[in-house]
Amino acid sequence: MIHRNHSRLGFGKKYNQGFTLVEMLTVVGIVALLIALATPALVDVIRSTRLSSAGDSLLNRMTLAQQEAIARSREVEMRFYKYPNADTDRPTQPFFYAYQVVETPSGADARAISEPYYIESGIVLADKREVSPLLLTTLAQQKQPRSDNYIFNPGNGVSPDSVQYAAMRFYPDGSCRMLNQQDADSLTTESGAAMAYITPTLDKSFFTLVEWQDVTLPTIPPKNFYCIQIDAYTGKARVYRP
Amino acid sequence: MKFLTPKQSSAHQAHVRGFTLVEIMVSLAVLTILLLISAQVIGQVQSTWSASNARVSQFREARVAFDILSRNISQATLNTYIDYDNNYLATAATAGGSASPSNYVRRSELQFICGPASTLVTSGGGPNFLPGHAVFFQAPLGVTSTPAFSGLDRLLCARGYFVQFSSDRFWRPNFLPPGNERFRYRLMEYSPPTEQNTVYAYAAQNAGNLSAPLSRNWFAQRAGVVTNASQSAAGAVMLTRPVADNIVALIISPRRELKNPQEVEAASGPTQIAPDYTYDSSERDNIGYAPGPQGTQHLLPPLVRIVLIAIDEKSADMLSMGAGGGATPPLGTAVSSNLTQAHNLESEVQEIVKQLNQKRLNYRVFSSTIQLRGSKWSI
Repeated sequence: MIHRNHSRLGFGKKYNQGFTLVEMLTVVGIVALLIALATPALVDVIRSTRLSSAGDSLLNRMTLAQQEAIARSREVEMRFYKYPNADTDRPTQPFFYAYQVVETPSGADARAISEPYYIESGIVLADKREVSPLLLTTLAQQKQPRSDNYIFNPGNGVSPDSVQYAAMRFYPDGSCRMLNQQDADSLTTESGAAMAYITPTLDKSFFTLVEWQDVTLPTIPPKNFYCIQIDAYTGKARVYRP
Repeated sequence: MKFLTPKQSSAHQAHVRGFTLVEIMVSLAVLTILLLISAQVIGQVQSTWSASNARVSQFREARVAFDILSRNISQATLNTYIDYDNNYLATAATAGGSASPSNYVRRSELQFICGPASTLVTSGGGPNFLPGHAVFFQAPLGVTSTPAFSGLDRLLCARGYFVQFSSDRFWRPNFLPPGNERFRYRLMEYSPPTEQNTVYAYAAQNAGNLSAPLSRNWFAQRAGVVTNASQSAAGAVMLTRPVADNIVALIISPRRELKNPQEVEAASGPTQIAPDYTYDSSERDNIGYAPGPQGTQHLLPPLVRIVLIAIDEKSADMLSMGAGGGATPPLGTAVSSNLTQAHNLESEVQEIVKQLNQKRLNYRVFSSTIQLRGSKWSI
């Protein structure tokens, strides 16, 4: 009995023989090598997907704001918030991390008509003149005169009065105007020029989403970007990717 | 031990024997046929889907552009006023103001002008680059780039529309790396902000001569994106924007109202105020049948027929594969050479459409007759 069993075992062993240690090591080594080779490319893919989805949702919300202006037959404003992020892994200087759609009825407080949208982590709106001429002019967020509170509170230990915003206003005829975008080359926030909503020319009417590790680098164009150009007369947006 | 009988062993061997070459080839052939069929089906579905998608999205853009064009053109303004006649003004200067006026004339410093785009837009690259017609007018649209003027929503602005074949590099954000230029026929809108509107500057030049047509300098040199690199001066303000891509023809035909409901299209029909499609409100035209010695001078045409021919992006892509790396207008004079007589508009459009069909382009024709609200017309 035992003998037969043994012989059977021997017979089976001939066909179901396991792998040797060397074979296993080789296979594992090859797999590890492949993974190592593929990871950087994969990380890039994930990052650029993130950038695309951040850009796409911004684009959709802009269209929505434009529709809102047409539907309500009222001016609707999109605000881009710039503030220093308290997270330790972020740069200390302020960047555009969020945006929100508000309504500014005359003689009343501005009213938020959407939640603030935080741009996906790792992505910010670039604030350099070359890549985002539309976002050069920013206003400091003030307390609402009547209700005595702020529209946007970034939380996370960031005081709401340190928030600056750039604004784009949509009109019931489908057009849009930017807060004081005249002569982007000479105008700065400090110049104290009258703030007004004006129509930018098409070749200077764009802003760009980038990854935040690129935002402080002097490289133009950035390694990866999602550039949105807006035709102010019609509110139509075009997208440029690398 | 039973396993090892020769018979069993051979049966076993037959069982694990590999496939023969013939079997594998047959199965491969069957597999290939299946793959080919499914690839074909998938390809067909995909091309249908993308074609219909391109059609929908493309013609949506054209439709929006057509709406914008109609809306703005219907707001065209001349601000015509009545003044003393030419003769009085001429003699008053020399005779020390002793002459007395004998009659009144219509006057205006503004202009409504339409005609072949290549004659109106002088820096646009010539007839091949500017198919079809152009229209230029003034309207209270309140567009401004100066903060001090914002809020004045009825400010007078110059507007113009024409089709131009051009590259997109003139309005691409300039931080983008060069390359990937897209050459397309586009509906362009000449839309300077109000502070760039120079129509009054030129009107002053011929204030003494009321019969001379007004200067065209407020748009002629300024409209259109330039087609060769040396012309594109750095720092020039961009006054012309694309409204829609892949518009191959814009046809503008000023018309009067029908005299009676039965009136047919003819040389002496509703298009007689602009028989060859050209109309300049500052010219003393149509004196034969319009009342008074001025004809249609300083009058807006009551109606304007607008025809827009759009192609879809796929067709445009196919066209741009042609000669010259896509930089030469692929349609040549197919549009312009067919537009000569306004009362034959229908058949002329048919002729253009026939040429598009020959090139296997997917097109759509938009057409409508617009009433100009500012027109005070009584012919």
